[in-house]
Amino acid sequence: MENREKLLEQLTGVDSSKLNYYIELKKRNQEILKQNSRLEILQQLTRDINIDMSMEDILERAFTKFPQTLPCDFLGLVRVRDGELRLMALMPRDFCRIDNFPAHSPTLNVISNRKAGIYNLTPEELSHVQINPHYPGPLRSLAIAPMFQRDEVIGALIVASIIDGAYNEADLSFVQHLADQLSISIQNARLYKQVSRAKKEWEETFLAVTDPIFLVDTDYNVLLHNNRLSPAMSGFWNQAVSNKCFARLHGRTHPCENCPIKEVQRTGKPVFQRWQTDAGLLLDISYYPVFNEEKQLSAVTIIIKDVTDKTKMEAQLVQTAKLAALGEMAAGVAHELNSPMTVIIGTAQLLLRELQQDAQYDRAEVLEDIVNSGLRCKRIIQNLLTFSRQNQPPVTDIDLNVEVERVLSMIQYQINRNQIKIVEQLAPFLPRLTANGSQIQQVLTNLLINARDALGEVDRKEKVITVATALLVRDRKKWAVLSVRDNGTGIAPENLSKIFTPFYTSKEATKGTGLGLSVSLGIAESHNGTIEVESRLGEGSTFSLLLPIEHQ
Amino acid sequence: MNISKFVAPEIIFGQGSLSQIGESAARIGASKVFLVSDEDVISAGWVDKALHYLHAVGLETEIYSSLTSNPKDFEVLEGARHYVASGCDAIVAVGGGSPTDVAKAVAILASNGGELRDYEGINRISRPLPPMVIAPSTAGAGSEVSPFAIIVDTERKLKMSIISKSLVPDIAIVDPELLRTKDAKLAAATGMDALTHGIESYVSLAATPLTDIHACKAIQLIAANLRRAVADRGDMEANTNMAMASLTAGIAFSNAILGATHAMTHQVDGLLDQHHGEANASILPHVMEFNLSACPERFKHIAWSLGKDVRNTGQEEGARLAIEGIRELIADIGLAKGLGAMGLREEFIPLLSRNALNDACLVTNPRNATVDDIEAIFRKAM
Repeated sequence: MENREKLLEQLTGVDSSKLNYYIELKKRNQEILKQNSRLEILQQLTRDINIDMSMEDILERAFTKFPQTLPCDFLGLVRVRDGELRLMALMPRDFCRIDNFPAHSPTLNVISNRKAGIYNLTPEELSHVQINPHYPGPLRSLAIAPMFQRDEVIGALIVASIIDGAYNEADLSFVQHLADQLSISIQNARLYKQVSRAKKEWEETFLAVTDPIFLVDTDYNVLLHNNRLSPAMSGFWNQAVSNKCFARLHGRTHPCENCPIKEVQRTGKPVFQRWQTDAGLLLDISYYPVFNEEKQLSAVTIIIKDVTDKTKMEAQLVQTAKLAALGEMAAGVAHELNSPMTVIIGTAQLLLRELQQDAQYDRAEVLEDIVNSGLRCKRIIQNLLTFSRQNQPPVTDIDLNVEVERVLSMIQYQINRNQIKIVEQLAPFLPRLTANGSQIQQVLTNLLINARDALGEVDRKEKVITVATALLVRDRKKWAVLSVRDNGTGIAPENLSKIFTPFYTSKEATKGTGLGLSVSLGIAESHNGTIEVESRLGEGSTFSLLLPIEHQ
Repeated sequence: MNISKFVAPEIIFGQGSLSQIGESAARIGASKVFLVSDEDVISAGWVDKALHYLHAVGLETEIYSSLTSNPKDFEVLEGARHYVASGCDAIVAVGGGSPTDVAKAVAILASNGGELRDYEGINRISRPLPPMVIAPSTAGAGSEVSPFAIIVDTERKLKMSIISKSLVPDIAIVDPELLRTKDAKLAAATGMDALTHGIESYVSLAATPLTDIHACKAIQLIAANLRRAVADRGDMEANTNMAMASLTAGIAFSNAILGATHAMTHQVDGLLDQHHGEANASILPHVMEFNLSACPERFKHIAWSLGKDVRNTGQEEGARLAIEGIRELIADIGLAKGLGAMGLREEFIPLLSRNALNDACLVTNPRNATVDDIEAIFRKAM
């Protein structure tokens, strides 16, 4: 009978309700709407989370969205660090403290089981969570989902509520989704950091190189550059309208003839070029091929090295070394000649005295010539010894006119041999100045030889080199000027800017190195001075060495 | 059990009410209607009419009519497949008990899945069914308002009773016009079915004043109109009254449930594939005799409802007049054949009796019946 009562209850009792299609539909719709809003949250989070966003910010975003779909009084992110659990981020930020996760703690449970879980706990079981008394507590229900990175559990996401039994399985699956999303965000952030660090390192390396570097594609577009062009080189660069390398580096409207990029493209090998700018710079340019994944040339790296100073220095070194060797040799020769000269002069003077006493004036006159020539030789030898003096202090107090005399005494004869007249216009009472005498001699020698060479090819009745010294006041500063003027070939205006360039020469290959003037200019500049040129083609040139008299 | 529940669908009644079928289907949210019917109803033209009204409100339709009287499980399965494949979202049945029950069973499988057997018994349906509109074409089954779906399990050769309030349709459209096209035999059998519903729910253990009103009204209407309805198919007054009788009987048994007659006829129907009403006619008087002692005052009231003069009769005597009245009515409409004549053989009785004992309808029978009791009744009804 009991069974019958039960059946009757089922058949006609109040519980035997009609299941309503619409109610379930509504229920399902609500479930779908809830699910939608959760998806929306997930999607919004995915969209909102910047890769460089902190975990706190991410949790804060999630926390503000949660009330729409999930009861949530606390949101926490626990990470596994060195085998221990640490509360990395939480919302609200001062909600609670968790110093340690005891063995029974749900988070530890979830992480060791690698499975999300819902926990409805008594306050005692959550005693390790020290809730800030400003917030209502204690927490009664938790939904915790593990966070994976590949197969490894890296932490857990905790959603907690002070409501008892706040979460169901659908909520848990949402929390798991969120945890997965956060794991991905954490990984992305880490990857991003790595990539951006690597990128930064490379950029800094690129920018740190002091030589100009360019990345130019095969269509001549400048893709990258490290902004290291020296002011002397950046004229075209700043004026160029187009971003093509030929415009920015050479000021051209069309690719250069024999463009090295084309050669790199053809051979696939680096190309090196030395290039002389109109501004007088000497540049070593290297073109290195850059290949893409298909092993095709995608760009060319251009590295420009300004070797002007280096080359000048090298030339100066060579010249110095040559001069040193010459000096050494001259010193040896002079030293060797000194003794026989002394003997020749002494003996001649002895003989001269005897002839004068014997009143044989005709013969004495001849001997006088010998004595005079001997004395002249001795003076030359003396100059040679001075010129070649070793370990001389680099800078001393000098008389410019004396230095001129020294050079002329050595070189005058040689120049006179070329039917060239040397005219001296030395200023009297020229103040002494502080300079390296032998370097000044070197400059003058250079200028004289250049003047001689400039006169070599002209057909003129009178070939004259005028050596002059003078005092000049310019820009309220006193300058000593040593000028060498010739009435030789002169220099074409278009070449005037190139003459100080190392290795620029108008002379035959066997005669000149093209270093003389550049070395001379180097010496002048090292004395805070300069060399000025004035020239007219066919009329002659004047080179003036300007040296400051007073030092600042 | 002091608290009971009374469930009835929205009911649209009256001649020509079939015209409401489109609006009704639209009202329950249909966009594509799965229309269940059978060949007889189709050839009588009612399905075309229904389609007209459905299309008139812009609904799409899909027709399923591959079914027989005493609907079979495989027909339901086929229907459910059809329903799911067609993308329908509501079910409409136009027809007698068979299309209605098939419609309900299709709804079960379509929304709950599984097999029909999973839902046999009481309240086994766990998910709501698609919305349903039923327009009966016979006056008997009461299925348009009932929480029953009776389907033949062809393997076990028995009728499964699936009972759940979920099976109560959302809207019942009872249009007496539809009764006009059925034949006299069907009118008699269905009328007999309705009468059995009325009587069983009136004496049911779960009867309440609310169900009594409907049960008594049904018995009175049938006693006064069934003979006329069988005799003249065009008697619209009789048809309308029979439609109302079937409806009220349906409402009554939907809430008070049935009794031993149905528990037994369910078994016979499954075996013989006879019309349910005919089997009822054979068994009902014998079950009444068996039940008589349990509630004689109710049987006496039935006798009064049948038109018997019970003013000067005692309790027992009056009750017996009810059985007499029933027998006369059965004889008058030509259904007094007996189970033997319908093809039931002696040897099936023990099995049928055991199965009947498991039928939910037996729960509300006013007198407790044992297997022996049921066997005895079967034998008398042969």
